[in-house]
Amino acid sequence: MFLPLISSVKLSNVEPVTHIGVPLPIFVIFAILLVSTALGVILSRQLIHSVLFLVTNLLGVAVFYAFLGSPFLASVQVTLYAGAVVVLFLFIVMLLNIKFDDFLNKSAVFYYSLFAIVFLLAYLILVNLTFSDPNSPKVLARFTPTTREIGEKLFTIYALPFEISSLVLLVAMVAAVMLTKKKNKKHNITLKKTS
Amino acid sequence: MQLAFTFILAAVVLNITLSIASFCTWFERKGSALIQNRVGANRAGSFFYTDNLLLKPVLFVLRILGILGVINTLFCDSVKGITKEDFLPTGVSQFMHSLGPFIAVFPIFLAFSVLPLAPDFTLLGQVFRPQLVPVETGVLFVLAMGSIAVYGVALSGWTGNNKYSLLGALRASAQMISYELALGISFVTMIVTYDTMNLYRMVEAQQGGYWGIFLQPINFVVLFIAGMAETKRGPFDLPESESEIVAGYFTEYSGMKFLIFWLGEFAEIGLFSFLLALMFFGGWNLPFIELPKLTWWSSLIGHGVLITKVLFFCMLQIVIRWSLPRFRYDHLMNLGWKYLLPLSLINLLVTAFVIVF
Repeated sequence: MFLPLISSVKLSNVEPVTHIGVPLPIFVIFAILLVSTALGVILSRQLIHSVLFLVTNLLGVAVFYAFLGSPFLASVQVTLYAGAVVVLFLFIVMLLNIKFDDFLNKSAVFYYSLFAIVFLLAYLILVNLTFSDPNSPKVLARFTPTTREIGEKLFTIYALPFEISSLVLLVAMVAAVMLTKKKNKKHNITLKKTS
Repeated sequence: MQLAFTFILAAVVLNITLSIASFCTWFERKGSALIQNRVGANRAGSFFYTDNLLLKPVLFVLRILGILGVINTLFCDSVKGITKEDFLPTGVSQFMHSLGPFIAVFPIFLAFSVLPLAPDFTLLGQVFRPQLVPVETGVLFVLAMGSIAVYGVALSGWTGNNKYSLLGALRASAQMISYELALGISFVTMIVTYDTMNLYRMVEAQQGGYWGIFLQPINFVVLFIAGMAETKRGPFDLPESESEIVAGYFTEYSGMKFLIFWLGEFAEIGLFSFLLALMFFGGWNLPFIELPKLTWWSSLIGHGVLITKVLFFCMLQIVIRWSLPRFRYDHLMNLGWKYLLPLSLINLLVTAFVIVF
């Protein structure tokens, strides 16, 4: 996953693209941070700790975006993922009060080995992909993701996927509203009676 | 040279953040006393007395400061907060309990780093820009940092291990997320209007009297209301409404941790006032007067003008906070979702049509 980022450092000498590439010390620090927080998400016993690890992970990804020359994507990552989506996670986790120990204690070894196998497989697939795809670093050098260019690409070449994804989101939103509506119907009537 | 300038600027930005926060604290105490026909803090410094002629003027100044309440807010409060017992609720880890106020404050301080403080100036043949992080997407960065601050509130309410603090945290998070939509869309409207996300260029675009308040008066109203709701103050202080839920999300905080929440709140007021002054009131531009560019003294004057506007908006928010009663929660949600959000959306559409055609 991170390998094309390193190789883009070399490529930035060829193309006159500013800011692209992560300095090595920062890359090492943030790679360790990202991997450890990603492990923390799945390994921590407390759900709220997992959510906090997830937030840290998303913020770390935003730092990478910023170093790769796209402060816009970094800001959007923080605003949307860390600021809006995971807050809802936190809401649910805060209200649910789940105790994980009850169903994790007995077969913890089994779960952890399962996690490890899945992680290893995913890692191998990612490494394989990044090595086998010769184009991935070049894409970075050709396309400087400024705000204007992202908007142009989004509304010209990628207009159809963009519209489809927004349609999916709309459907999900309507579905969520309908789900809450059915449950709230009785409640609304009682409110009207009392008031 | 540029590196040294950056280090100096970092210190200056932090200093401005803390100064504005402490000014707001002072004005909150003395201004609210003025509004409520009280005297306010005036005791600190009153016990100094000496016959020494040399020390007399010093003590006179100290007494005046004490009567104005400056010593009380700047010195006594913080000393009291630091030396107070740090109370920890049962069954709560110290780390998580301390993390809440930290996350509530730290992003706000970070957001100050993208604000331009004065026009460019030349010194020793080099051009300096008094903006710590001249990032292209300054407005979005501020918005992102504001959305991170929700975690501080939610966490501190949760680690309170207390019904009231959890309720306060839920109220605060719901309120901040709902008003963030209207806030974000009104930011987008300003971005479309000035055709840039850079706060410095936004101010430059307002030269010659084309201030944002004249271009987007409706958007100013939307942004002002949404921003005040975002700072969780004024008539929007449902999360800490002391008549229903003891103190909301910081019920279980005492000592310095509690003061840190205050600091964050006032820093948020300062940040929001900065945004208003930069986007709607011309930043460092004076009406009818064009200052010469790239000189150190005009930069200094510009900085003064900007800070004056910022302090005006800080004071305005505090006056509103002390003069309006609190909303009811369903009214608050109605205002956010049914009035402000559609208004800002329509405003954005109209602006886009005007810009394109």
